[in-house]
Amino acid sequence: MEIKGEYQIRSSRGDVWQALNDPEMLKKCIPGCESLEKISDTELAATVMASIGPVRARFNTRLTLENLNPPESYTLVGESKAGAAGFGRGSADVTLTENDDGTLLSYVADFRVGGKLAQVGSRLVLGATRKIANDFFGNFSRELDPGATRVGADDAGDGKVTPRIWLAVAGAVAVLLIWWFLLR
Amino acid sequence: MTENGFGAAVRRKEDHRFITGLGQFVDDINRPHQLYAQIIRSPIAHGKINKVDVDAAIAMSGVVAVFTGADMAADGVGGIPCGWGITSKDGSPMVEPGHPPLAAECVRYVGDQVAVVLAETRAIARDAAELVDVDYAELPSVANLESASADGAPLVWDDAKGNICFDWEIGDKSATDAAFAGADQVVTIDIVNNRLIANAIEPRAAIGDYDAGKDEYTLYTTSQNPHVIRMLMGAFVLSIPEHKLRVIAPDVGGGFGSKICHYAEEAIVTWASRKVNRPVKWTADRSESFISDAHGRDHVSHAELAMSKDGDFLGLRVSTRANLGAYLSTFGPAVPTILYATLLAGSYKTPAIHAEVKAMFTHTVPVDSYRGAGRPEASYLLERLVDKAAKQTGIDPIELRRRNFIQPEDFPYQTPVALEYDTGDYDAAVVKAIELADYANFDQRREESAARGKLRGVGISTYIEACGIAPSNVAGALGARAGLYEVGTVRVNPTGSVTVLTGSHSHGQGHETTFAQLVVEALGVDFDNVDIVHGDTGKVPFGMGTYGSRSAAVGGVALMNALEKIRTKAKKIAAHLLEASEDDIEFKDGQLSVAGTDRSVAFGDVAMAAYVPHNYPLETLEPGLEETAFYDPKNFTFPAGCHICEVEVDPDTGVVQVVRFTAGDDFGRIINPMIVDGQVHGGVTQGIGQALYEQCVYDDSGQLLTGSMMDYCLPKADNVPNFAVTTNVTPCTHNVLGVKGCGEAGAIGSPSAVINAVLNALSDYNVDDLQMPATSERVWQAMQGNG
Repeated sequence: MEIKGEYQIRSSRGDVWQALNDPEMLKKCIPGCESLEKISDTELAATVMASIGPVRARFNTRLTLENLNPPESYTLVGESKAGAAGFGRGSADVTLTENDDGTLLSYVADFRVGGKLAQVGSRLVLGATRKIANDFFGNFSRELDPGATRVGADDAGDGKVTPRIWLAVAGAVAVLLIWWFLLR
Repeated sequence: MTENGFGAAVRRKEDHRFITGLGQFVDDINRPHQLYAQIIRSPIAHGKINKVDVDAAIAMSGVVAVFTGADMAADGVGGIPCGWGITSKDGSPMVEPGHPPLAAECVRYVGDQVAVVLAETRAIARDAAELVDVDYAELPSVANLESASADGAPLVWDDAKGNICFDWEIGDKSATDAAFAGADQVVTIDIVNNRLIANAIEPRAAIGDYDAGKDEYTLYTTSQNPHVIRMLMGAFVLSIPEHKLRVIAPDVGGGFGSKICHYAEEAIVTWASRKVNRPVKWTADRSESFISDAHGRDHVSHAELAMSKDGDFLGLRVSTRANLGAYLSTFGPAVPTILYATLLAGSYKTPAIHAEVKAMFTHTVPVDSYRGAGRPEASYLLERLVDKAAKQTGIDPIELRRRNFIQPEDFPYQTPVALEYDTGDYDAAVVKAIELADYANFDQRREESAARGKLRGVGISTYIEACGIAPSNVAGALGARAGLYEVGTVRVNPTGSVTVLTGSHSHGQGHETTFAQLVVEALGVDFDNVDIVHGDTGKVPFGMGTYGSRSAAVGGVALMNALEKIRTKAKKIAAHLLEASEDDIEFKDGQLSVAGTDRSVAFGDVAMAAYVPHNYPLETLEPGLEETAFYDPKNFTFPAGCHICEVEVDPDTGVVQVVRFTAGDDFGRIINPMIVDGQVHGGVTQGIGQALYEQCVYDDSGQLLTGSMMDYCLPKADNVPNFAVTTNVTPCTHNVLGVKGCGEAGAIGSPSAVINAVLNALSDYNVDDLQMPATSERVWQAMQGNG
């Protein structure tokens, strides 16, 4: 499954990059995040409580940052396990582009789920993941820029994509989320 | 007709307990000190098992044991056997991989069993299962026939090159080629027979109960054939001799073929029960059923029909790929071969037929029988092809069929694909069906539908099936590894009540009623004084179980033969009591009388004399009144019929609604017409389900996407019309009851009738191909030219 999105953030590209690499910031913004720690410069471990439809579970997620090209782009690779309930894994390419309004964050995430999560939740995964991604970016934007307002529609619309102002930031995260969900 | 005897629409005895909640299903049974098992299943389609970490689960309070495949292997547990061997064209045997109950090295489908947790409660078992950490090295997988057939496709089994289990053929290839060479016209079709999941209302369950004192095992299981399970599990998997293993299949809530197979869980709970010396119970939840019950169908076929300019069928050529899943299930290899390609003659006298079947492994749940098992696939292919031929030639579809029917005077009829049909009258079924369906006035109904903005279509199918499987020697020659007879014991109790022990198994069929009707007919006893016992190897001498519409045609006849022995012995006893010659005794309506006199004795008194033999011919006759018969039929039976379906299609949405459905069937003689109607209703509903709603879908990585009722669409009451059902009777010529079997016909004949009707409704849209299920989206796309 693939999801993608774009978020306009009224902060400089450097600030956005910093925030994306700040475990405390991420922890604050990821819905249901119980712990998030940096294992090395390129590895994160997170525990996230999430639910997709009828499935609620704790996802143990490990994320690796690859293709680092600060402060422009990186790839987030992740895998979440939720025991007998299944797993999720995938990757997201995240790009930060400077523009007049600050920084445009765009991501393309490709992920898949397995086990019971796929069996009972496959139809719900995409929607739930979008919501989590949006919640995350919403939180992230507000943390970076409390005055931000949301404009436009996200990419799932009619093809005319106007970036949302206050939705901004880490596709990666989206991926995470996804996983935890999925991963339950 | 005797009241409550043969032919009476007697209400089902067993329904009282079922509708009042008093049935005893496996999950209703609880053994003292029992543990609960939770199976850990693979979440991936293919992978090597690096490590199974069970420490955290074992440490949990309330957990008694966790076992893995390595534990079972260390105990010398064998593999789950396959009940049918198929030989490829080149003479090589099918590839038959090992099938351990718990995978120890490699998992091969999502749902494959890896470990089992035993705990004091079901909840603890489930929680502990979450703590079992299995480390897999994921491997590439193939989730469908297409990817399994691709060049360089990942292999499910290294021994099965190209993922081919066997490459089999039937029929005369050169005669068929010659028929095509001489044909005036050829019709071709590509058919996908969609993969289905049985979804019996009762999920599978099993309890293993080891008695250390006697060193005996009891297995309670949701099975259609407990003796077969005893044989397969005892002899091949756990090495337990028959006299130490009792298998009980009590009330079972629907099988549809999915409860024929010997499943891993049966062996796991039986084995584990001895390991921990406590009973072990496992009950599947619905999610588990989706990924562990055998699936059905899943064929991709190409077929060609050669015809003369007048539409006479000259030759049929069929090439099929069949998905067997990751392992060979009990009857898996028989379904796309013996139960499929032998039926490709249908009810037509096509002189030359050749079919080849390539059976393939994929990383999916094993595929086995599902209501009809092979015969629906054959009937669907043929009846779609014949309808296409009618369209192509411009000959009316009913006329084209009639022109090619095997005629009543042609029987017995030897088909080019091994079977010999004993009897039938296909045109009679058509005549009855078109009358009941008011076929003549269809155009009027079409106009009426059109006035409401709906497209109405009518579709027909004329199916045949081979039931009552089978003569053991024929089945053996075709690859069966067991006999296919049936066993019936009639125990007349001292006061004249009757207990029947039958090897057939009822899981919805109503044997407790229909078999009792046979006893009433033969012995004249009261219906309420007959009890039918089935499903317990500790009570019933032997049996091969219920599948392939064989209960009446094989089990019923075995019972009849035992009843005949009872009648013979009763006459001897009566002759003694009445001081008459045995030849002069007449046995009618429960009275044994001396012909031409008023001297008689009641059957109950004969029974009493047999058990209290004070006045009894002890020097020539044993006391007691109990007889057993084993019956092995001479041939299959061949039910046939004509189904007519009318649908309305909403042109805006593509939604199809079945608005009329008529079944005209020939099941031979009928024991209980009400039960037969019910069987037809259920079968047709499942056929409509296959045609319009049901579809098992895996994603490319082998994850089951239709893994719950949210995504797997079963037909509901508002998806089916009131059925119009009629029968014509040509009695089976080779069994004493003249019965043929009715359990599967509905699911065999209906899918093609439905799809033919949808295509007929779309006749203005130039759609000549539509795959099942004909969902609203598919129909709408086809109408837009995107078929």
